[in-house]
Amino acid sequence: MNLHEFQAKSLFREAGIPLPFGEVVESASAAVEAAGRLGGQQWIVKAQVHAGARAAAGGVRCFSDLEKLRRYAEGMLGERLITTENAPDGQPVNHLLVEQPCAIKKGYCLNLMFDPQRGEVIFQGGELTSVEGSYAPPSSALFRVGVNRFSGLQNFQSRQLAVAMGVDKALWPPFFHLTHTLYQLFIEKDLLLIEVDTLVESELGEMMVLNARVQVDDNALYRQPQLAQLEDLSQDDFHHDHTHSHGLGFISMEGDISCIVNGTGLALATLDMIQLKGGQVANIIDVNNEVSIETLAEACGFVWQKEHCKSILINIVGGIVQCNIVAAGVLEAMRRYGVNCPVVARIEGSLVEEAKLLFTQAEQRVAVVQALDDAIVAAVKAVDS
Amino acid sequence: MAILADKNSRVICQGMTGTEGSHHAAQCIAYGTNLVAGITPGRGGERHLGRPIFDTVNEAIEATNANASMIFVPPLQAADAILEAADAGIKTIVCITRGIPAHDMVKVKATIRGCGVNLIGPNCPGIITSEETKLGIMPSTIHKKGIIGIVSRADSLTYEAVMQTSRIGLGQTTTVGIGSDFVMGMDFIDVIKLFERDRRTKGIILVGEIGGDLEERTAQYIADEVRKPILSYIAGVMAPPGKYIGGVGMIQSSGVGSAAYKCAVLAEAGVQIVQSPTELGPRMLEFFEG
Repeated sequence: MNLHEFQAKSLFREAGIPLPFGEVVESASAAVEAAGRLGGQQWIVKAQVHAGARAAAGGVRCFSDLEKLRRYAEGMLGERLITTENAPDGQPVNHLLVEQPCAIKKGYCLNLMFDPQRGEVIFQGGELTSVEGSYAPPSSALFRVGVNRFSGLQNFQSRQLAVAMGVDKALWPPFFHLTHTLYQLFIEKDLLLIEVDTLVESELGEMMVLNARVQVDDNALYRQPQLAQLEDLSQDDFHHDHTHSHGLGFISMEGDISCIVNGTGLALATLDMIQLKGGQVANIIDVNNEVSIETLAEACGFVWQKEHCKSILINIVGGIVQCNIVAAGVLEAMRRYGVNCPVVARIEGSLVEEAKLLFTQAEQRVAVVQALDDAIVAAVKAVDS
Repeated sequence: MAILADKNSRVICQGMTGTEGSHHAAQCIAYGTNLVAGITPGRGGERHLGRPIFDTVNEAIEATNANASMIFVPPLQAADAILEAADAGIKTIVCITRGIPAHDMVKVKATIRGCGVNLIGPNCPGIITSEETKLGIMPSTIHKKGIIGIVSRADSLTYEAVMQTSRIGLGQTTTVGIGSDFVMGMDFIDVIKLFERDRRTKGIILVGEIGGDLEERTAQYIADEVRKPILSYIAGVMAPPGKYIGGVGMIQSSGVGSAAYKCAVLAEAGVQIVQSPTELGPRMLEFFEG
C-alpha cells in the first residue's frame, strides 16, 4: 500500500524529522488560506497522487502570486494527473500540499528497503546532481549499507553513509538522527520502502526532507490500524479496474475472448497461448479458492457488459479451487446477463466431475476439452462461429 | 533418496487441527506421506486424523523422531511456527500459509541463514516426491514417478508442467513450488542445486513468470554450475506492457523483469526456452531421444 506524500510527511513530522512547513487542502480557497497562514512570498503546490515524476507532469509548481495559485489549485483538484509512472490514465488529484519553499545548498537521496535474500534492511544513499539550480538523481551508483535485522543500525553505518554521500561534517549529528529515525519508522510501521528522493542541506544549514515516498506492507495492516486508515482506493482504480471489489484478479485487454482461470501464472500462460494461436484476449478473470457462485457470476456479468466477448474459455487447473463452483458461476452469469457465446471448458482438479455434469446439462453451448492446446484452438475458432 | 523429502521422511503438520491443515493433512496421508504428528498449541494430548497432537515441535520430535514439517498456521503465527521448527532441528520446512508480513519473514531469513534449513515458501503449493510423499496442497493424481525435477514459482502452472511430463511418460522425481512472495525461502538456485546433485533427476524444468529478478539471478548460476538438460517456460511473453497485474506489478516491455529479458539471459546460460507450457513435455522428451 502506498502513502501519499502528505501522509508520509505527517509520519515523519510525528517522529521528529525536519520538514518544510505545509498544509494539505482539498479546495482552491483552502489552498489560498493555507498559503496565507504559511506566510512568506512564495509557495510550492504539490498534487497528491500515488506516482512519482509529478514535477515533470506539471503536478508541482511554485507561485508568488496568490491568484495564480488559486487558479492552479482549481484546475488541478478533481482532475487526473498523468505522469510517466501512471500513464496512460493517470490518477485523480483529491489533495494538494501547500508548502513553504526551501533554498537548497546541496541535495541527496536516501532509501530504505529490504534485501530479501540476506534478510537485511538496506540503506542506499547518494548526492543529487545539480544542473542549473535543479536537481537530478545521482549520476553514479548509490552507496549501500546492509543493516542486520537484530543488531539494528549502528553508528558506524550512519557514518559510512555520511562520508560516501558527502554530507558536511557540521551536519553529521542531524544526519545521524535522521538515519536512526527513518530506520525506527521502517521497523515499527512495517514499511517496505522509504524513498527520500529529495533530502537537502538548506541555505540555513538544516537537514530537511523535501519529498518522500513510503510503502506499507499490505500483509501487516492488521497490526498497523493507524496506517490502514490511510488507504486511498481512488488511486488504485487504474491498477485493478473494477473486479477488485469482487476480490478477484482481473486483466482487461482489447480482444474478444474472455478467460476464466485460477492463478496469475496460468492467466499469463493462457494469454501467451491464445495470442500464439492468433486469438485476441478481451479479459482474464482470475478466481481464487474462496470464490462463490454469486461473486463469480457478478464479476463475469460486470466484465461482459463492459466488454463484449465472442467466446469464453474456462481454464482451471488446481488443487484448491472447486471446479463445480466455477462452472456454476459462469453459467449463472451467462443466464443472468443474457450472454450466449460458445464456451470452451478445460478443467482439472477437485470436484471436476460435478463441473462436467453441470456443463453437459447446461442449455448453453459448452465444449469440454481435455488437452490445453486443443482448448485454446477451440476458443480461438469459436470467435468466428 | 530424493531431494528434500521422500517416503522415509517423518513429517509433522503445524496447524493440523485447523480447517485447511486438517483438509490437506488428510490428503497427504492418503497420498502416502508418513505424517507422524500434528502441532496445535494448547491441544497437546489429543488425537486428530489418527495422529497424536503436541503443544510444541520439540515434544513431537522426542516422541516421533520427526524430520520435516509442513505449516498451515494463520499468517500472524506463521513466522513463529517456522522458527520453532528450525529451532527444534527440522531441516525441511514447507510453509503453505499466505499473507505473512514481510518484516516477520525477513527476521526468519536472518535467523535461519547459514543453519542448513531448507525453507520452502511461504505462500506456495509445497513439495511432492512423486508416488512417495507430499508436503503440500497439489492435486495428487497427476504426479507420476520419473526422472524430471520441476521447480516453479507460478503455482497453477506447476500442475501444467507436471501433467505434461506425466502424460509423456517421463514423470517427476520431486516437484517444488517455491511460491513468489517478495521474501521467500528457497529460490530457483537453491532447488536447482539439489536437482543437479540428485542422481535420479535427469532433467530439470524451471517455470517462471514476469516480474522480479529471480530468473535473471538464476541464469548465471545455471551457466556456471548446471550440466543437466534444463528447460524453461516464462509466463507472460505476450502480456501487454504498461498493464498492471496483481502479484506481478507493472508489465515492462524490456529490461529486468520483462519476459524478453528473462528468456534472453536464460537462453544465454544454456537453458532451452519454450513458448507455451504445452511444449514442456515434448521438448523434454527430445533431450532424451535426440
